Amino acid sequence: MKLLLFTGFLGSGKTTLILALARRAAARGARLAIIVNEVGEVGIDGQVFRLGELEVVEITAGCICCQIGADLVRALRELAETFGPELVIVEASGIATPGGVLDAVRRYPPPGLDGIETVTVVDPTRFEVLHEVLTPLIEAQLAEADRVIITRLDEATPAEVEAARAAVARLAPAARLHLVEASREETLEGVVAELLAVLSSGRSTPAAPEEGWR
Amino acid sequence: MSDRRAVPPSAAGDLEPYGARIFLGALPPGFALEPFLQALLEQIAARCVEEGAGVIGHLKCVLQSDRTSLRCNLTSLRSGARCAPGPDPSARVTSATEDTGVPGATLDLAVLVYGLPAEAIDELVEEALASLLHPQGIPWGKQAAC
Repeated sequence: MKLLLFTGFLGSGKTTLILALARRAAARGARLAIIVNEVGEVGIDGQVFRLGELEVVEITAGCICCQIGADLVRALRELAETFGPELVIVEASGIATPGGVLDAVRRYPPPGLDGIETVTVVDPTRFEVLHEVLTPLIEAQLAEADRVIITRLDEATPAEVEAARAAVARLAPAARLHLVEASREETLEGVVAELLAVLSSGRSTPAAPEEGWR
Repeated sequence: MSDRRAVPPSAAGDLEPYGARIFLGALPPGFALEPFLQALLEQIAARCVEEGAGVIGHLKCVLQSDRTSLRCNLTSLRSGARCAPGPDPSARVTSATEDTGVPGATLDLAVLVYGLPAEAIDELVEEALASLLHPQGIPWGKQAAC
């Protein structure tokens, strides 16, 4: 079972990317499940993922964003035992850092886990402001990324994209960088195909940073 | 995921998530759902900023009825709110209630902003609903989840 962990600030585009990935993976016959952790008690993203025949587990943190690691470990274990997915996509809440999730999963791995890939989604239209006022969170989300996807290219100015790209290069130098425009399906094909290939091969970390698609 | 370490103190203030389920009464024929949802999110976001929110995180909603399914989200006032077909594949996706109207709908709403308490956000949501629905004579009920 491969685990694909999506992080990124609130509204960065995680749900859109996961939906695109999940649809393509399902179309290829992959047995997959999605675990979504939202802030607050109204599960909007979980409703969206139920569009297709996607297996969805919602972990809702509630008003106080307390420890969620135990819930995730329990959910992964139950999925492994009852559903047996080849791929589990975890959408972390927008205020989460990958570190806590990775710690919990590595310490208490579900049966059959054989690869974790961490993807951080960046919205360039808000990156500079968010980085300025939420520095620890934004930097922590980038620091442990295997891949970084800069999205919303249709809304961002060239200067905003360049600033985000420069920051990613500095804060996540080992991560592979992808540039996508989620509203244009063809820009998603490359990154989705590569993610699926990496997960199939079992390689959990890309060999070298490299420019993505545009 | 969200643990306490994941929410460090910041210049933006604290994030106190707000969620509500809103029950809309009968929507009249021709009531334009998409502009309503866009205006709702944009009005709430603008008022949050006016009231001192340090950062807009994400405002998102899903509206569902027996014949309509629509979701909208907003991440900045600059980009505004955007809508897309909702999650219910059995519902006929439409952005207006057409000729017959809709007997009622459920709207799930999440407002994630830094620097405002949930109680203050609840008041702004109520204010926005009143300004958009009262003139149309549409009743509503709200159940705050958080």
